[in-house]
Amino acid sequence: MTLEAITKQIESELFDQLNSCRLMFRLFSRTKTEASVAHKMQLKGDSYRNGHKMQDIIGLRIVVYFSDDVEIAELFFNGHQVVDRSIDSPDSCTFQPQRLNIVCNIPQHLIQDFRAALPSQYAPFIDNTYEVQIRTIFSEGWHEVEHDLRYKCKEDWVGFENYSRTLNGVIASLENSEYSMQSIFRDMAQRCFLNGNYSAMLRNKLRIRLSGNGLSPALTTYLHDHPEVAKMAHEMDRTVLLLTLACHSRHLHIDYDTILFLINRLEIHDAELMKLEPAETTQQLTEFFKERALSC
Amino acid sequence: MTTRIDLNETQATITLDGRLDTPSAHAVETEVKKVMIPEIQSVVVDCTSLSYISSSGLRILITLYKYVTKVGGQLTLKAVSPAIREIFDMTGFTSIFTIVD
Repeated sequence: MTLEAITKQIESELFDQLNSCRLMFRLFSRTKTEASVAHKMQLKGDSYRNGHKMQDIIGLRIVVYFSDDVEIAELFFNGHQVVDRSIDSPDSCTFQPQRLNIVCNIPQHLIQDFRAALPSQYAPFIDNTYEVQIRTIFSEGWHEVEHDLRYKCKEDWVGFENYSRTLNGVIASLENSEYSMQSIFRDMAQRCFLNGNYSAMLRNKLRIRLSGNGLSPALTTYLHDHPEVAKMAHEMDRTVLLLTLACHSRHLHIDYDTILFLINRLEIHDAELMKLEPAETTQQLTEFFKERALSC
Repeated sequence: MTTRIDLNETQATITLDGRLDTPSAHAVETEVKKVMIPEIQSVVVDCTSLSYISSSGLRILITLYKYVTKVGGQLTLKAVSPAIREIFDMTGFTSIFTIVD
């Protein structure tokens, strides 16, 4: 296998895992070329010869649409899989690019192919790892531009500190925009709940790719007749729900009805609502819960 | 729902007593934030008297887990009842949290 093929396989496995909770996201990958590795050896060769190894010859970037999805994507990486994390905490007085980089072990089943595919003269300096960056879609655009036109060209910006500051100001605006996006949909969900528009409530609350157009007439009627059940569905924590979907090896077909039945199993525990589960959904959910959870 | 915090050098013990659900979550979250200080490297959550945990409660544990992990420490859940354990199993969070007897 080539390094590019290994990268694509890792990307594909991660895509399936992220897609299991129907997050809105984009996933990109890149493999460092031999020229790029050579360039890095020129810049940092001493540190690599002293034991520190190149960890990002394979890089993946998860780009999420909402800032609270960064946390969900981050929690996918846990335990033995993770070698290192570089996560910047927000500073209340400063706006600056924030890193969320995770270094993970190359999956065991790919290590042999990975080692065989490395350029032989650099292999001793390359670790069995890949790097994952997690960003929001707004900050992704800013980071790409900043990386290519400022970080790599620092000499261009000498004497133009005011423009550099303004560029940093743009990321501040983007953070505010991210907050606004989340707030809009949170408030929409609340209003739809109050208006009894429960399909829209779920859609705006969950902000994921749900199949179908809405709840079935039976469930819509049930929620109208049992507003306390609708309230509990509205109060279900989104992060916990999406992590639940992600942490199980069996993936569910996620439409509006199934999500409501899942919320019922996890949080509401309404026996009458459970009786409305079609047999196929009951089987799906039973198998979903039975499967041992993956390491998230 | 009552929450007791015991701080001992670098370890904090949080004792939860009662139902950790949406109405009680905010107050518990305020208490739990007291352990998110630089001195604390590990946190034990004593679940002996925890009778129920909702998604709001799980969210607090996730936030605590993220904080402790970020500082290189460990979050341990102790004395989890079968009912609470079932909730962790259903959500798949047994693969995230360290649970001991």
